[in-house]
Amino acid sequence: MSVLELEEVDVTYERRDHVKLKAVVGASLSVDRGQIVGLVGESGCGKSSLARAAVGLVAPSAGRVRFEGQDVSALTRRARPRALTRLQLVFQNPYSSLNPRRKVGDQIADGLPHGTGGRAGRARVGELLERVGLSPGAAERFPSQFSGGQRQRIAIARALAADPSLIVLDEPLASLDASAQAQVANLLVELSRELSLGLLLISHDLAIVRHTADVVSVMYLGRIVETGPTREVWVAPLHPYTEALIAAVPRSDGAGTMPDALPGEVPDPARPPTGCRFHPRCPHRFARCPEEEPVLEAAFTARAVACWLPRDAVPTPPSGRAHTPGAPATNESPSSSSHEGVMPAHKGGTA
Amino acid sequence: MSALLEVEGLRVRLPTRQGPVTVVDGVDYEVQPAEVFGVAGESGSGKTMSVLALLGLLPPGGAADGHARFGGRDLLRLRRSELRTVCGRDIGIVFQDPMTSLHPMLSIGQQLGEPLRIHLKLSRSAAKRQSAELLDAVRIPDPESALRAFPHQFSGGMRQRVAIAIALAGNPSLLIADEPTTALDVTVQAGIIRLLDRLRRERGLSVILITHDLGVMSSIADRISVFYAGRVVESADRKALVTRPRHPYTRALIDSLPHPEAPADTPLVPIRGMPPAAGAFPSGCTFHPRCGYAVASCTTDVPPLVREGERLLACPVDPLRQ
Repeated sequence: MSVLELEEVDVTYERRDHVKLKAVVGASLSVDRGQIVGLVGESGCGKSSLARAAVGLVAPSAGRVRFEGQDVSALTRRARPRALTRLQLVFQNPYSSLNPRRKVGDQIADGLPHGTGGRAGRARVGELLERVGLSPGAAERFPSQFSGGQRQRIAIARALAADPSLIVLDEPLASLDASAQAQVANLLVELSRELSLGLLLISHDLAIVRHTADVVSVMYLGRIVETGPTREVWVAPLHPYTEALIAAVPRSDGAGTMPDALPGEVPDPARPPTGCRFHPRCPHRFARCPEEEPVLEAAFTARAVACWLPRDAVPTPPSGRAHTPGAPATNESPSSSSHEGVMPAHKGGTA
Repeated sequence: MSALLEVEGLRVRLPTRQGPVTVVDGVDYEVQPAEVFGVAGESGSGKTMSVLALLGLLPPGGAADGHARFGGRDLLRLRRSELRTVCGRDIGIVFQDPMTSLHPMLSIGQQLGEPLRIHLKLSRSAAKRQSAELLDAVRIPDPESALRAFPHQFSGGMRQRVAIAIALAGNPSLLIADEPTTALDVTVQAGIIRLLDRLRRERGLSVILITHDLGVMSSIADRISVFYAGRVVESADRKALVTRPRHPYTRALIDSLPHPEAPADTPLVPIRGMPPAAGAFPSGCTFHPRCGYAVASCTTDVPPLVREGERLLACPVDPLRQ
């Protein structure tokens, strides 16, 4: 059974000029125990808003979020319901998410269930520190005495203190060096398997998600545009946006291959493009794309994609994939006009 | 071909509460014309300090010695006033975060015009024309109106393009790019990598690319030097370094990366332990406590950087020799 379930969730913010901005539109996803679900997209795609809605930091304007079968209510000034303490969040920046003036052990102890104090509490803190690969002695030190990777482990230990069944992690790897990133990524996989913990891993980096997540959802401008088992999505992306994200990852094989830039920029979410939200940047767009918004529909097994392109063609690996849209493209491929990812005459930045 | 920049025996010391510590300990490197030279390493490896030292941009109290020959002069022997004309005119710099490196209250036109008028002594109108051309060169759409805009009106990727345009204003022969894509999305990062590559090809610009991301390095750098704890441990051309690393640290760094081209079940292998803090660098080979191949002499003898063909290697054990 899914431990976390999001059903058709919308997150709407009101801008200072009273314009309603839909940061998340009709997003559905679920996370099982012991499963790692990756949520990937560029900055501004709404992935952090979705994370905040998932843990109740913002109230969804439509749809529902359920955790262990119970509705997740938005956080108020009142104490969080006891049951929801098993739903935890880890933030991106371990430099600002830990209190610099309190000992690491005390901060982890804050997360322990009510009534765990004294010697039992200290022992548990020591255990949690060891669980994330630090020595129990770290409890007596301050965050400034640790590197970025170690601080992120401390933040994870604090989340584990509440004995969670699910942790939402918002870009937990983004601020780390390659080696620390690998350490924390491996730790997450271990924790998920050994504690049968569900993880919702939010990241802009599909390359690292590929090594950690079992299932991945790709988000663009508030909508989930593709979802499926990570391995399949990586080898044969169905959505052109997913394809672009994969092609942009630099290859570290020393061959000097240039990564492919995606032309244009993420549009203003207050005024999303008509039809498919990705169509202005899509190299494969055709007449139907600006007209109608595609919905997620099942494609192959356990996958779903929101794109009008016909799916009769057998998907091939990202490098050699050629689309044959049902109708002729309305425009020449936008990627051919610029290889550096800038679309001419787009978002001039006028004062 | 004579090098554009030759750095020799560079040492950098920074003040700390415990007294001065050496963060760069005898580093040599050179940059050829129209070459992208990659400086790789984890945070705290001294990679940034070994480049900023050349321009007198060390934190207060920092001291550098050694030689840095550039255009017939030694950058480390220049007076501050002389350095100021080199920095910005002959050498441009781009930093990691375009949010903080651009002035939030000045228009793009003002920020771009300043180096043009100071370094190239252009008139106001000539500076404006030149500014628009620079924005066009970095592919900012509609340069005329962009000149009147402010940094917050641009996305992160566009801001980094503006920062690159400013760095290019004095028509430098060398661009120093310190983690220029680390704060950006991969899709935007790809655009900046391509931009740097085009500037190198079209303008003959040399670039020192400082980054911990060997993936970025592997797509654009011609030669790469790997820094560890204040020293260069290995240096070679891109392909040799990435496909046949010889230093155990280089190997470990590559194994810890997610490789998009490798099979899905390739594990991420982190390097055991932690990079040492400045001031607490281990004796002998600074990597020995984390190295799987260390022998007794590694703990005592500082390995010299030895040339072998095109490669420089600081590992006498050389366990990865084939």
